[in-house]
Amino acid sequence: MFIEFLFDYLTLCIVHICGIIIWVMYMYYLFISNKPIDMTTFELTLNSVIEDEFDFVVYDAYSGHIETGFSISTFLKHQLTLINSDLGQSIKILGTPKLDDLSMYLLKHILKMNSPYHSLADAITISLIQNDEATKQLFLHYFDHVNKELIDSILSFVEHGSNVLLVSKLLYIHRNTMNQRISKFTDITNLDMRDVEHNQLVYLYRLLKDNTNLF
Amino acid sequence: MAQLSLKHIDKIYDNNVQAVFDFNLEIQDKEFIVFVGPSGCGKSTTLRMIAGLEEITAGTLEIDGVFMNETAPKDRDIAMVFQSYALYPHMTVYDNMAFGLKIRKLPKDEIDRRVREAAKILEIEEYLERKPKALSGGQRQRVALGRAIVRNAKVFLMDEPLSNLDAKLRVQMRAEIIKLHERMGATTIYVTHDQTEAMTMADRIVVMKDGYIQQIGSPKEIYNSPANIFVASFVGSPAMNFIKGSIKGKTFVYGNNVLEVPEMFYDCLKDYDGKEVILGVRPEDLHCESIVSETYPNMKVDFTVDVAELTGHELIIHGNTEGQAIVGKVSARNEISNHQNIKLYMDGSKIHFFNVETEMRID
Repeated sequence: MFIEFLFDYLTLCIVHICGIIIWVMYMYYLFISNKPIDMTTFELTLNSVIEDEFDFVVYDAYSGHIETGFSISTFLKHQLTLINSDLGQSIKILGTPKLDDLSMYLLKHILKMNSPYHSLADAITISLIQNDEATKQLFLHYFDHVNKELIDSILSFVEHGSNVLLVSKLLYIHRNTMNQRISKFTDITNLDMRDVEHNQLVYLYRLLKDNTNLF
Repeated sequence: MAQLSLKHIDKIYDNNVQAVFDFNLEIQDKEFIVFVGPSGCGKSTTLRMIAGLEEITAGTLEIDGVFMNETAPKDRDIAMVFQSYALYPHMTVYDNMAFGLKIRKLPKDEIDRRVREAAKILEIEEYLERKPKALSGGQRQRVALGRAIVRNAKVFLMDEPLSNLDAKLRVQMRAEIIKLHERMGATTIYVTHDQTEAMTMADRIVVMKDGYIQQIGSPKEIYNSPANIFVASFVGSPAMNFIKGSIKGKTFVYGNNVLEVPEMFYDCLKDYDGKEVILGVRPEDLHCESIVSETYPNMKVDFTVDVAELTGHELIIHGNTEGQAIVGKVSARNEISNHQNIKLYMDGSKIHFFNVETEMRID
């Protein structure tokens, strides 16, 4: 039961704690500012306000990313304005499950967006509203590496309110099969379907895919 | 403390959307300025440009005569108070207040002195070891203010700091912020969409709409001499009534009703003879009392009451005159009921005229 719980919750990177193998869901928080960031003070500040450990990677004077084994999205959503005010800087952050072309592309776009923190789904939505063709193309290919049966099951899952029982009935599969598919999807994409931001991302993908002709 | 000078400030985003147009304002030392306007009018954008959180596209910002456009936010000596209690949840009140100073590497003694001094001003000394979750909404907002106070900044910027509080607490905190401003004397810029906050707190109000300043003035000036129809309708509750009619000689005619224009308007209306104008009158300047009817007997309005709302000491009467909807606010001593036809008299010294095309005040 415990192992099942761990597998259910954690994916991707393996760490060893007391001999038990735990999968950890990594999240990347890409940051950028239009003025040079005092990286030392920024890292120190994050160390003081984020209670767990994280990796801090600097790209250049203006940008970099924070790598965590846990989600700090809610924290950033509420506290980034405060951190910016303490630092006297205007840093914007994009929360993303992987460091891919789409995320790197959107990093520059979030500079122009109003809120300091954006999830990947938020940033994609705003870019699509702005008719950004590059975002549309990159996002349409976001799940190209996931096999068709798996992505179709996941799209059905989000379409039906993320209800495993309901969707397994609709697809005529056992609920454990559906749970396994969700876990497999998480393994491949680093998207945890219980995370609202990740769920929104897949839902948005479904909407875009079904309505590409409208864009 | 500080003087601010904003000259010809524009904000144009990359998608060519212009949020602020030619913003000009001189803010005096220790002044309490309120930016007010509906959502999307550019008030928060202007505040963020002053804070350095948004680039200034064109124009100049000076603080105490020093050019600030390119200065990093941390070097502008500005403290900001935000909407929502904006505190670090896992830190104590003391640590929350001290944190901004710690990362600026101030000596521990100095941090301690400033935090305790601010806590004393805000009367939160006994909560210093508590965490935010153990505080009430009002106490949390005081801590948020405390975080700004300890900075000893030249300028305080407040971005709708009370909008997340419930109505009763908002009134209480409004008074606290006024007291705090009086005690500290810091130059303060306060952004709100709530006209009551603007009227009760400001030394001067800047009314904005669609990125343009509509009027700058004291609360009294804004209320008594609105520059245009937007300002007139935005400030005051219920809003000012507007009656469309035309000037004929020394009278204002709408439908079958003829009002005698008070002598004070003869000069400014001389070019409008035979033309359409809009007459503005606040609900409280419509009266039933004989003292007004005797002073302005020719300012009579035939009024059909649709709904009379008793608020306690006042009666808000919604209805129409000659088919134009208006609202009156009269004493609850008057016996007025729904669907009644009554006569109201305008206080001729308190009416306003606006140009139909430009919507600007005629004076």
